[in-house]
Amino acid sequence: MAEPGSEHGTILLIEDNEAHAELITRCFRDQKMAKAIFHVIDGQQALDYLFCKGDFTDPVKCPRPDLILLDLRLPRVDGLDVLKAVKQEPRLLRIPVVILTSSDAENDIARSYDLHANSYLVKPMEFRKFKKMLEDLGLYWLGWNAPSRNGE
Amino acid sequence: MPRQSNQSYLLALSGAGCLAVSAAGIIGTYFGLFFLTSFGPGYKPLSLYGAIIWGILGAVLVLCSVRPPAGATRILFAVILSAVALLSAVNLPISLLGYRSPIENLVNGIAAPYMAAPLAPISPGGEFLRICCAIGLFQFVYAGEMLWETRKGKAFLCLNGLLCITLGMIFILSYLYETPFIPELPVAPIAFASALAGMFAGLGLIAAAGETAFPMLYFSGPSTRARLLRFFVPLTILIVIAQSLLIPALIPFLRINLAVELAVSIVIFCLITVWIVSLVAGGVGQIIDHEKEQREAAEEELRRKHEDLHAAYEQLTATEEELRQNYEELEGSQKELSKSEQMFRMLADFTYDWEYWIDQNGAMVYTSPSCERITGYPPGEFMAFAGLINRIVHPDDLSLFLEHQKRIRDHPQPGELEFRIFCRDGTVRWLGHTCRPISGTRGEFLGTRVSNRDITRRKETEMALRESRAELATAIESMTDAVFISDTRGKFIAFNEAFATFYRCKDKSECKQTLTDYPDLLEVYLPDGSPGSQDTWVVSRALRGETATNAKYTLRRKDTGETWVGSYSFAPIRDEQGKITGSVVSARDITSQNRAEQELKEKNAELERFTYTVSHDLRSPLITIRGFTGLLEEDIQKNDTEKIARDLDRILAATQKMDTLLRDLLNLSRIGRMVNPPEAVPFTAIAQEAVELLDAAVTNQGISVVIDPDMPAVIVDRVRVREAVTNLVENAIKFMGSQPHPEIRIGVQYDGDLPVFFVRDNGIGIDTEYHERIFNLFEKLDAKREGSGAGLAIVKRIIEVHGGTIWVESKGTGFGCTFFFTLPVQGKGETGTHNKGKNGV
Repeated sequence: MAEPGSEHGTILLIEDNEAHAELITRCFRDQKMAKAIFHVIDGQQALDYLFCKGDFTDPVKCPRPDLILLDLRLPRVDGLDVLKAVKQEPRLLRIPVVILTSSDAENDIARSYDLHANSYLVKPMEFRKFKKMLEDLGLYWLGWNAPSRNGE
Repeated sequence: MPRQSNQSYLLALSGAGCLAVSAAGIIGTYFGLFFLTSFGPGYKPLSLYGAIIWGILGAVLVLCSVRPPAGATRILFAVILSAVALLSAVNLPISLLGYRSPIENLVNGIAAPYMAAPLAPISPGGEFLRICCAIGLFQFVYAGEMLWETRKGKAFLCLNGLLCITLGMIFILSYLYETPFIPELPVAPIAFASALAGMFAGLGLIAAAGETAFPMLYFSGPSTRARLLRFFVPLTILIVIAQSLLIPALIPFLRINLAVELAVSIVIFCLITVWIVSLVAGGVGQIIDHEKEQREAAEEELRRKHEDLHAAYEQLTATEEELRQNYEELEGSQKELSKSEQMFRMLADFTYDWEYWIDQNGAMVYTSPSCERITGYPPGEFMAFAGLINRIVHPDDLSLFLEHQKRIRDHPQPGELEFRIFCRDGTVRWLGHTCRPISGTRGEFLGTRVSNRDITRRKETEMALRESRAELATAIESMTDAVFISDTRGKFIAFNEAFATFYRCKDKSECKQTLTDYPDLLEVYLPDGSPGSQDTWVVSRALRGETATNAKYTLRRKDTGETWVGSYSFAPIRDEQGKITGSVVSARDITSQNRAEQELKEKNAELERFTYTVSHDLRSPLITIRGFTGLLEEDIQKNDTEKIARDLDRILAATQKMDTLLRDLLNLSRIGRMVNPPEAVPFTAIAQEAVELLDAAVTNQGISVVIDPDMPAVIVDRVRVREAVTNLVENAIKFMGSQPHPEIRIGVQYDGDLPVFFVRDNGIGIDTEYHERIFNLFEKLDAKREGSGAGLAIVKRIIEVHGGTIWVESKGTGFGCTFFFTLPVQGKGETGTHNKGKNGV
């Protein structure tokens, strides 16, 4: 089990809502589980980041994430399209993608799993639960979950 | 026995004589006159009783002369006559003794006061005569056929008559010669009148006896003897009477010796007699010779005639022989003929249909007995009156029938006709009539031969079939779905007007009638979109035995490109054995229904999306609020004032966001209801108003806005459409990007007749892949931008509520974009739908 503040722990947060993004980021920072959190605001940026295109060509500035937190409803490129792209790309498919969204629609859940999402989380309304969830999320995926090192 | 005229005449005469005597007597007694008193003192007048009796006898004679008495008359006469005889029989001995009988006294007593003269007594002689006459008349009237017919009877009557005449004559002569009849008695014990009457009566009795009675029969007849007798006997009597009268008269004048006188008179009279006789004999001899000549001539003639007869007889025998031979031959051929006739009779009389032959004059020559079965009238009635046929034809069909008859008469040729008749019992039947003209061996027209068949049942079936066909056709025709029936080869044997409409033909006459013509006309697509070969078409499927309802096919006409969707129901038509004889198909155009369904699906999907979006987008700010509230708690505990301020900002921002969202939602929902009624507004005015509202932003960014003048007037809710244009311009401003000459143009271009409005900018443009998505609710291309993302959805809603369409064209990022939309224009009535070319089927 990885300890807080260890090597791995780069999270790519793909979230269009700034307020939510701040919430999430602050929670993770408090937890100190994640080493770094990178935030993009739409699907296109997400793809650019992951494929090192556009504004995100610098690998140092844009390291390969250990965990992708993906919101579904994104401008420009939809969340599921991002998921699909990631899971079809050999170099990226081993990165765990956790869908983090306010939608609990069965449809969305089903489609996400069809596209090989690793997990699906529904943002709870209550803050305490939200915070707990994120803590558990970090603990699990960055602590307990064993990542695949060589996906390069 | 019939009265011969002579006999009647004589009877009448004699009767009349008696009656005359009787009348004279009664009148004489009444007036006191006696005609014959001058005869001599010894004259005895007629007694009243005697006169009455003579009158009775005379009457009987006269009546019998007219007609032989019969029945009651006969009995009456018989009774009277027997009474007379009896009375006279009683009176005779009394008068003979000189007394008056009581009967006489009775009669006289009654008549005396009326009579002038004293009444004379009855004479015995008269009574005797009267008895004889009465008996004779009784025999004549009543004696009976048997007695009357016998010779003895007749002889008796004749002799009775002769006796009466003789007695009468004697009494009259005794009166004339005044010689007493019986000594010691008055001159004649009879009245002169009675004697006269007796003679008449005697004559009557002789006449009554008839010509065949003895001795009168010798005098009657045409024989020579009778003739001679008839001549000579009266002559002799005449001579004798003349002699006996003459001689006594001459004696006083001639004073010759009686003997000499007698001898001379004898000689003279002999000579006279001889002369007369010789004359007569000569005459008779001549007659006889003449008759002999005649007889000889007749005999000669007879002999000749006999020879002729004999010759004729020979000939006759020969002819008879010939005749007999002919007869035998005839018999033979007649047998054959009768056999042949029997055969033909068998054929003709036992026909099932009614056959008859009418000759060239319209008379019926032959009719088969089956006419009775068919019409109710026996053959006899048709033979008697050929016009009976015309009488039984139904009045509605009569003119047709008469025309047909006339046609056949004028141009003899085979003909047919169907018409109704009234049978004898009043029922109506249909007859199938065929007639053929007949001609003889020399080609002469002999009339027409007719065959009539009872086709009532067939007619009824035909009519029922026609009715049901008509019903079916009407039913099919009245249906709004296309209905068509085909045979096994795919030829359409029935289809309705709706069929033509369904297949987009102008009318029924334009439609092709065979299945195999249709692949040239149509493309057919199955529900999954793949093209269907003719095997998969409904008619083919039905003919293979398939039945289905609501099978959907998409159809496209090759010539016009028009496409529509049909819902088919089909089934095979089978005959009684279950073999397929055709197909029946009904089709309904469900294009609009389909479209409506699709629209509904889309709307439902939209609604779902909407609901999803709304709940998601409303949840989002709530999460923010809750989240930052939580963080706020922590930050307050930590006393991190910077973070607290930040947290509070976030919370406030989130609530504002929620408010905006809700307001936009409300707005969007309201667009469904057009609050303001549509009015005609020039679009230019609306565009100008919209731009004015955004004046600040336009000026700030230095954007030049161009509005086309004189744009058509639109019939819209002014406020809403202005809102839509405002949104579009807002969007254009938002996505202008940074460039030296930002420009927005609002204008109109024409797609044929259809005006299409647009809002064009030369801003950053939109990538093609987003062209559809941007109209979705809350879809934001750029998360950083302000706005709820509902703007374009609202615009789309407004345009669509007015019946228009909106779409965007942009070549991509950096090339600007143009929003096109249509609205109802004044004078067009409805908004045209621009074919975007995207929807194929």
